[in-house]
Amino acid sequence: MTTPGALSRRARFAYRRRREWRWLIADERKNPYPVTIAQRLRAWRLGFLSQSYLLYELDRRDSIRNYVKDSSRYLRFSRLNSPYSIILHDKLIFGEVFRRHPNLLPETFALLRHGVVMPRSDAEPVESVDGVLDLLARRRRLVLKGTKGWGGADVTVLEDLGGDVSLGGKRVSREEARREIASRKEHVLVEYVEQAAYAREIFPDSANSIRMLTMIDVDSGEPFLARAVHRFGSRSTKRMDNFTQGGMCAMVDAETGTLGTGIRVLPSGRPEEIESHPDTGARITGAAVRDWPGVLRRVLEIAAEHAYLPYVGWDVVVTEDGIRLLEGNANSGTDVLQVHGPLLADPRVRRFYKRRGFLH
Amino acid sequence: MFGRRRELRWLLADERKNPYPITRTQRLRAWRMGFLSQSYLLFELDRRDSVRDYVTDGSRYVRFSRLNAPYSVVLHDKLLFDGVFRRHANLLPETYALLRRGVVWPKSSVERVDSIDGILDLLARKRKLVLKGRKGWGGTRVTVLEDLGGDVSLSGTRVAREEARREIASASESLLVECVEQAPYAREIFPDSANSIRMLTMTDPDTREPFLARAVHRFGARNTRRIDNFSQGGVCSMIDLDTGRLGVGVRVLPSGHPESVERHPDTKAPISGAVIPGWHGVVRQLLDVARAHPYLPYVGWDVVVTADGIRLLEGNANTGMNVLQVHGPLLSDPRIRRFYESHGGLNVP
Repeated sequence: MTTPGALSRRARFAYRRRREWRWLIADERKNPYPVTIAQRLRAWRLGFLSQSYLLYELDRRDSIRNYVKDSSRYLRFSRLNSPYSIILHDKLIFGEVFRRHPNLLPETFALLRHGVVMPRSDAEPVESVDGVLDLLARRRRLVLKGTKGWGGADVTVLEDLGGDVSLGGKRVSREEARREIASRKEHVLVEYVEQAAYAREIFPDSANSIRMLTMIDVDSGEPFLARAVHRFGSRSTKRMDNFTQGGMCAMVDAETGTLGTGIRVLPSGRPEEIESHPDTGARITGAAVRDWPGVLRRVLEIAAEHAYLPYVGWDVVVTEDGIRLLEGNANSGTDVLQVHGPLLADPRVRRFYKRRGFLH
Repeated sequence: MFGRRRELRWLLADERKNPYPITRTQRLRAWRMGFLSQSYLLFELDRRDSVRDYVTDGSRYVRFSRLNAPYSVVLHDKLLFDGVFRRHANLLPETYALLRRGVVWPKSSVERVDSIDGILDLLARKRKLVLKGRKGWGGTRVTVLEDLGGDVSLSGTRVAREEARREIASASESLLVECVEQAPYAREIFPDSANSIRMLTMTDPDTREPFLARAVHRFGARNTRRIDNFSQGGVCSMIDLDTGRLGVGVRVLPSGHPESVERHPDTKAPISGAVIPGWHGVVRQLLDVARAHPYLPYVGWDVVVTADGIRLLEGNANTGMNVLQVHGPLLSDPRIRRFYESHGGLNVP
């Protein structure tokens, strides 16, 4: 006989499964690039979304066995950090858990919920929507971040334009900004991080972050860096460093902290190599991340302290005095990581997924 | 819908757990009024002129779970609770390790514990430790480990070291935490359990400042297995919020009705009139914590007063009402009524 407990477990599993499939299908539908039906079918048969198929140029590869498939990522990896992934999914809880590490998180000023503003900072108590705009006038830039982001956080950069306000690069009046901010569901208001000079020189209009994927080795229990990729915004990314919306990315050499060749996505969906940033002309290839050994050490220390989260894609901004952690992703996107080459070519990375039973 | 079903199941399960004798008429009367049978007996609702100031179990089980939404998980999940409240210095008991099916993950930089044997070694040095289930929806699973020089006591039951090892390894996901050393006033009343105060804080809907709604001191007894559980034979006493002085003690009779006691039944130490040292500091410190987490407007904190300040054992997102209302109804305080009403949390009988 099936017990009610087993039934409810099965129902929950089916619910989660359905959510994962819906997420996969939604992302496939979002593909903006031209792809033939034959290509699309071939991508699916291989276990990839059509945009990954184009981005990784799988049709031009001899072997694809070292690529992490989208089917693994969407349908399996969500369980890697179970049952603690909520710490990474919910930005308020993330802030609450990680703020005990000194100088790690950007300051959180307030929690906003349908126009109610709950202060979260002793240094800058913000208690109303007008308080948010006053703070903006003093700080010049602030960030509004949705607390829930399952597969892509919802982030708006606010800028003070002396009277008017820019919301994600769009100029609106103060009144309109007030309405817009008050209408937000559940958001946290955080500091806009001032990045180090090396990153500002390449592109100054976004906080350019490094996606650092850490894994906890099953045998040693120690964290290691699987890959680090620097993202840079561009004129079309609305103050963000979003790669798929027109940004650039470059792999960071884990030994030296030097950036490799930059990559951006062409309108065809295929990657293009670039040596310099197209908007600023600043050189990407060969640029060095400020104090890379210190950055790596700090990120691995944090990962070790939270070893109950064995698989995290951290978003790290390097500043003049260390790092700031923007967020951690429980199921990091693999496009920005694998456009520089397959992840599973590293035996440590392959072993991580395999030992935890997460490879097809 | 899923949440609703869970709440009703919880309500029914607790009604079924009623161990006290009750007639069918009384039970039906209790339900009609919105209470569980055991609350009906404990609050002596059959002897009251008016019950309108009591928070009903109907409100508590079916509505109050939403008061801290969507963040009640921070209180439900003890690991998350630890992660979030750890940043307040000297507030939580030290957490040594996280256990999951025999695997031990060290969590403390002071005492590194990474195996079951390591736990028993630590126990030999510390004499007492606490194993706390990670999830507790409506009551946490807590085991007190004691070193008996070779053998081990698990919540008062003596077992061999080998059996203790097996028992610990088979525990579902748990945290291993320090056993808090309570202040002398509490040890004198009953020394064998960490006697805690259930302190209910609410965020005032108008000023958005937290206030202390009620504070009730619990004490263990010989039959509570090293815990200060009231419904399993312990004693509780309401604290005067202005002075920190304990009122008359109350325990549950086998009939399910309350009995007033002036002294602890096992130690004979006086309860009523005992004063909590540094009470104003206790309240101030707790309200500071509540203020730092305004996204949790309704918390039943379990606080142990020690010689150097308070220790927070846990926070309950939907605190039990027995221990609070056995001393009188909550809603006679207009601030408390206003809190529940502003959150739409009261069932109109």
